[in-house]
Amino acid sequence: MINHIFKENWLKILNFNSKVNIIEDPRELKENVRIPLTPNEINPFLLYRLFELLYPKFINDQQNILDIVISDFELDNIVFGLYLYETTKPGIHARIKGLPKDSIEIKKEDLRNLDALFNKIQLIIQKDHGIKVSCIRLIKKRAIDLMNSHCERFTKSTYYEFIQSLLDIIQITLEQELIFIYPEPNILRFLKSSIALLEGIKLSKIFEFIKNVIPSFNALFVINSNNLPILLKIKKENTISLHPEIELNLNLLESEKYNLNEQNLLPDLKALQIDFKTDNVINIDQSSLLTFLSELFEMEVPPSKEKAQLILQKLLYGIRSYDLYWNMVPKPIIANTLFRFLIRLFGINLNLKKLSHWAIPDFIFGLIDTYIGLNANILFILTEQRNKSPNSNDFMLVRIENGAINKLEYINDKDFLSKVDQESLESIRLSVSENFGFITTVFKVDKFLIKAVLSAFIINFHKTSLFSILKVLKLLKKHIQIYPEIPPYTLIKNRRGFSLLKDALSIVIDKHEF
Amino acid sequence: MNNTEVAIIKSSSPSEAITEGIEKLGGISGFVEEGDQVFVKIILRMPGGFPVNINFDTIKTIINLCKEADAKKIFVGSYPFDRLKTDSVAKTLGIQSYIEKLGAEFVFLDDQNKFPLKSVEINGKTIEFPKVILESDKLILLNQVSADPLFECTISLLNTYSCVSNQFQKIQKNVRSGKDYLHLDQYKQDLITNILDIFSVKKPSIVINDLFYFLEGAGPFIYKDSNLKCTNLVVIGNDAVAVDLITLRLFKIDLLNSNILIEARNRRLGITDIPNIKLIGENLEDTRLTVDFCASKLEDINFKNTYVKAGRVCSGCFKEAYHLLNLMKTHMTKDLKYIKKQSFLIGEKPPKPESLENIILFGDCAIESTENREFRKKIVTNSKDYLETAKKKLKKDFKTQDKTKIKEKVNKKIIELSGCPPNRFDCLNSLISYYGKSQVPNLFFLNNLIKTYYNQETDKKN
Repeated sequence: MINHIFKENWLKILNFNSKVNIIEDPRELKENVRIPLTPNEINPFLLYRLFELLYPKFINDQQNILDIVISDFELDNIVFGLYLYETTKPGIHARIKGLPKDSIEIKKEDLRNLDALFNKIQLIIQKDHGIKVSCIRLIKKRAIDLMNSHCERFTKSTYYEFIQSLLDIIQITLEQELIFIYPEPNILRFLKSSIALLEGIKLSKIFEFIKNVIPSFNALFVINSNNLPILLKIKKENTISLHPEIELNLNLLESEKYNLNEQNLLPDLKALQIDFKTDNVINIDQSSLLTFLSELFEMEVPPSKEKAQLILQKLLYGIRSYDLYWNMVPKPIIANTLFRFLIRLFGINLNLKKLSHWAIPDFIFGLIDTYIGLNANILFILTEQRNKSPNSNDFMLVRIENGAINKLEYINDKDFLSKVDQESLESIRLSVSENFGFITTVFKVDKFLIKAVLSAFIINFHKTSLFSILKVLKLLKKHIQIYPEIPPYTLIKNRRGFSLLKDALSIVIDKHEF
Repeated sequence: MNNTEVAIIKSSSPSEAITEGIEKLGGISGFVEEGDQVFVKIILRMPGGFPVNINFDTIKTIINLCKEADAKKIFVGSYPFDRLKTDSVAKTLGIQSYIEKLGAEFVFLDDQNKFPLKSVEINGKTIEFPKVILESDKLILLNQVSADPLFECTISLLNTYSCVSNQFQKIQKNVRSGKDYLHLDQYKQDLITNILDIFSVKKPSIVINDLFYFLEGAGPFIYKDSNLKCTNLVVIGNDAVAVDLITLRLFKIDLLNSNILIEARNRRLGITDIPNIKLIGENLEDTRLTVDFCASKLEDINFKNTYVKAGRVCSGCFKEAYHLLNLMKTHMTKDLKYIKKQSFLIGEKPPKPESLENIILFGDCAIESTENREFRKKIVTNSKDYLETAKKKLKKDFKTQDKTKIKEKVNKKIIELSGCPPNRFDCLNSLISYYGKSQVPNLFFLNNLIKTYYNQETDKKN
């Protein structure tokens, strides 16, 4: 039923997991396995530790799991296969046991009440096998077929194509409800509702957009903790071919080599930069990151205005906690005291550690509510400076209800778009309003601006300086158009970059140093 | 026999509700005849998103209905908020092209060359009324209902007020001899009289109270405490007073609790007895809405580091203070943390402030009635040379020890926002010049934003 490449690898993982407790130093085992559904090879012990860390936190923190493969169609018994995992540790899949498929009978309508179905299955398994399952995973046959074809493909495709294929199967699986987990973990609910929010926008299309706007980079992330320090290397290199080269590697940090111990929780980032040949090394505190993610997955999607504000506040707090929850090599210029002192002489207060995380969300949401409205339809037009053909523009509709994003729509109707006069934002707004409801505001943004912003504030964050910010502000005026002209846009357009920056910094940076 | 009909319609969209309501009242042809010139009076307060102004989808519905009835000409318009030009509001909303595309004309009422005014005599007053409204065969009031600090809800009678320019909307403080201006709330009485005077000039043919999305908590502008509640309801009729009465009843507000409707009843401007109204659609008794109205006391607008103390307040000052306090609460998150403590005193003889620092005196009543109050002065002691005093104390030279001198000085930590009522946007300038730009960065930015469309009066230094 399942693809042999996937099966072999999965059994190898199970085999390793079952040996971990008997081997003296499992780290020393020179075996390699692949992360399931990916071509990425990984040390099986790291995978073991990752499951041990992440599975209980995000999926289920109890023992024993039952996988049930079910039919997509109405049958007397839709069960195609039953696989029982007796887990001694939550999340650690070590032993698999195939059960006779007629030992549990499930009808399609049972899926409507997973609570009752779970209780029924739990009783049967306890009676027949003497163990209590804490979680059932129902996988429709179509999901298995999708996984199989994905596994067939990724052995022959590039990394870029692999990511696209993976995103596609995730989207189809969640959209068409091909997988159920009971009790439903927050992450699954979060992903399902996020995909429902996208209203048909393909994840692979979003990835393609991100790929196009992100410049080349080569970074190493140290997801740092005393218990399980992980290295994640991500490299993207734009080539002359259609798709960039993407590299993604996961490793365990060698604590002794990089001087990481209980007393010193900061590894030698410079040595890591040299050894892994990366442009930057970003060290992130693992537990804070996991806490943030866990809170993010707990959030209802679409989030209410208050929740969105809270998450933004937490994210900004994370950013401002430089040297506390994260740091990087090369050290960012804006974290340099001398640089800050010098620009302070010109009245510019730029201090990352004083980012007003507590006030910025209120400020942003207050402006959006006031000038865009509590109910609004915002049309984003993404243009490409180099490509003048109007058909190359992307149209994205964001529907806001009571101040919170309610729906995202990608306008893909080629016939309709070809009839729209794309020269003036006014005519675009009128035409789109006819078909999609009244458009409150149209934002026309050039991808070049997004690239510049990403490059200045994320990829080359270590180089961000007063001049790069002023340059972005200049580009902002040039590459963004808003119709109708809302007051914040009028203000930005008419103010000089330097005075606008001074005013903006007084809002986003705390006044007091201590 | 009751021939005043009011439809209460529940639907899945405001446009559907309006179409269904008009259909239930006999169809658009019962209101608009072939060849009629129609004026659709909308809400156009200031640059801002929904629901500060009208719902653009409902305007579309109304225009399409009028076109269906073969109206000769359809005009859409309104005067915006005080000191705002229609042009600047229209630009920020992009309303003109939208209306024109629908086949109607957007009217810049303040362009007197194109849309001249006509003098109308009402109750001994002369009011300049736009000719285009007077000469239109039919007037349609398309009203967005939100919470309002003075009238609970922005009912359609209030909508008619912006048929005339702000010059004729302004309430002059007119203290009648022997009458207590504050006790009788003369401001509100004068305001109601004015609103009803203007309403009586031209009666509407259709009145639509769109409460499908009701802005509760703080309104009719969007503030931090505002929340958009979906009620799915629209109230439609041909008698504005009856439509407003039914709208208020949906919120459990009786006629006796609405000063404006009582006055409308006294002046026989419409039907105010529910038995005389034929209700169509939803059952009034079964359809009761529970919403949060605006704070009825200024002290209830709570926000960081600010203590509001109110004496006897007129409705004019109450309304402006309500908006100013909500503006501060919404847009000054950071500033309020920097300010540390401020007292906002309003009305006649307000209670004493929390501290002698940062006292905002809002309105003429507060300024005049506190002229001799203790907080206007502060006691200062002479500066001491602590080292010398300590030395003398050690020598036990009590005679030569300085005695602390106490002086009384004028407390300069007071901001006086004069006017009855003061204009909320002009107050922002005074607050910035008092606190300084570095202490109120959010307010400074907001003020610059407001300046892009609003003509503020030049700042008077405190």
